[in-house]
Amino acid sequence: MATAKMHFQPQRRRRDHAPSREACLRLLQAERSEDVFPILLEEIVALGHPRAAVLEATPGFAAPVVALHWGRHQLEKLSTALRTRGRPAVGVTDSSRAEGPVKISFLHRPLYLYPMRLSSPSPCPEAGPARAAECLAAQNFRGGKGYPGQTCGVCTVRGHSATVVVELRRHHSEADLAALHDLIDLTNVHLSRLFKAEHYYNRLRDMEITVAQVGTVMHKIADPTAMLSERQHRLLIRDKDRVERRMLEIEKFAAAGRLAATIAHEVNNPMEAIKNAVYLLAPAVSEGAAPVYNILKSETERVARVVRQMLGLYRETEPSKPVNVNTIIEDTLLLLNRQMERAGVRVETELGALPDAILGADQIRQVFSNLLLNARDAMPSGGILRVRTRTVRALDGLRIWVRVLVADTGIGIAPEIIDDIFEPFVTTKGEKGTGLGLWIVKGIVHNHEGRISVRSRPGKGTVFQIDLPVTKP
Amino acid sequence: MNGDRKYRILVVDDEAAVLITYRLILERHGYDVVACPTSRDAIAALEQHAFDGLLCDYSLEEHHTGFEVISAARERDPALPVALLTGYATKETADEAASRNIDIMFKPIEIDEFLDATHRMLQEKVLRPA
Repeated sequence: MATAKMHFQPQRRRRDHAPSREACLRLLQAERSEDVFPILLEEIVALGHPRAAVLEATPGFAAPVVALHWGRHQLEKLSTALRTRGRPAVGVTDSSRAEGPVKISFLHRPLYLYPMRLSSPSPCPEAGPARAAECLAAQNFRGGKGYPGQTCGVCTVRGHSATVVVELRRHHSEADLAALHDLIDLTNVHLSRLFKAEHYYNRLRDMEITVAQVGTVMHKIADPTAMLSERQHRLLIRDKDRVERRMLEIEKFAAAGRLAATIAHEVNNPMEAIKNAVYLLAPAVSEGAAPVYNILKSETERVARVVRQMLGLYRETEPSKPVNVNTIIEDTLLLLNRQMERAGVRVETELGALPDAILGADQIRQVFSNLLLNARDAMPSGGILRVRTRTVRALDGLRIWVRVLVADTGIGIAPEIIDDIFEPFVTTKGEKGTGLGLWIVKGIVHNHEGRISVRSRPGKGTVFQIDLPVTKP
Repeated sequence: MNGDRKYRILVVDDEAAVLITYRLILERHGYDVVACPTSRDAIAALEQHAFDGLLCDYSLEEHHTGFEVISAARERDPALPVALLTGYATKETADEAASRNIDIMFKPIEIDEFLDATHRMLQEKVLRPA
């Protein structure tokens, strides 16, 4: 059994043992970061190695994320081996260098270990020349001290830090190790890109929502007939400094949001042409080129979806038309799905049969988006978010309402502020919140001649109830 | 409408690549298409041919808009089915389109939806009493 260690320098290696085309295509087709590891493990086993696993690993910590052909008992021992000082496997996590073969006492066969990090050969454009040294992805690529769990100083993306563990097959050669290295390396590059893209996407979403909120405030301020209520007035006076500081922050966000919108508009026309051209090409694509064509098609559709969603938030003015509220809720949940998962929030829906209601769909989407994000923020250590819909008949027996309940198991709202919770600049989130979200929610609901109410118990959770008329009276 | 004749559609968009691909897609689905990159060309085309439908981008060359082309088209045929194609409409644009009974299609448009909407638009004209 070979015991000598071998070190690989990722950035200098040539792809002499490039993974097969099928393996590359399968990996690159993964659209979501969480889909990548399972495919990687299957491809490793397809290379003839008995088993493989991915462990989340930072110095002193290791826990299995996904494994193929490992028993639970052995997986636990493996985690322990990776986090125990002095064990040979620990060096990998600390050094961010691939190693193998490594012998571990309780296994017959040696292991190959590859620490995956957010990594990129060049710093991201956001860093520019001035902050290139701070870019986490570039630091990691250079094999710097950039280790795990960190957040990039420039763009705030969170770096992934997982160690891929492969139990090597009997009589493995150096070529086997090189092939493994190249496969995992390719996966890491793809994963790094996915993380970065997801991070940008989430940030754009946040900016868009803020911009839409600022728009509503501006409308209200510009409207000479809109009067600030006494309570709003009192709040404005009392918190003048805070308000001014917040307006500055909002302005900063708004500028960023306008930039995002401009980019989306500029991308839109070329996007339209590419999408059309891809469609037109379909009959001319040969069978051999079909997998590549399908990537082109699905990725183009994906960009079109993102552009459509970004622009959708700007269509504040769409005319009201019959819409099913359940569809809006499902769309919004789909969009926020990943954020919820990441925050450890389980979403349970119970959507009853609803008639169409006459609504501005994008405005109502903003209502749910604000409520769902609030619910997420109210559950910093995870919880359950329940969304229910049904119809109720008004007391006069004529009008029908769509009733939506949004309930979380979060920290709740203190009794002292619950009466003010729909007023502007009232927030439970401290500096993190704008205090505008629920005010806008209420504004939109009222514009639709609807009603909104809230119940909350500190430490237990909060329930928002919204009623929207099916037809305007 | 004679069932044997192809529908003739005027398509207007100032982005050449978008215009060409719209034309090719519509032609593939059996339409007779005249494609114009400017409002001036479009209005000239309206002088020369009779059309069954008009698909027009909102923002055209310089400061011209799709509304100018639509107005010119409706002067000749008040019942002409028309749709405005745009990535983004301000409240004013959306209101003006609604008040003039003009459909808006938002880009990026799903191609199936684009073809369906075009088909529906032309059918409505057939069903509409003269």
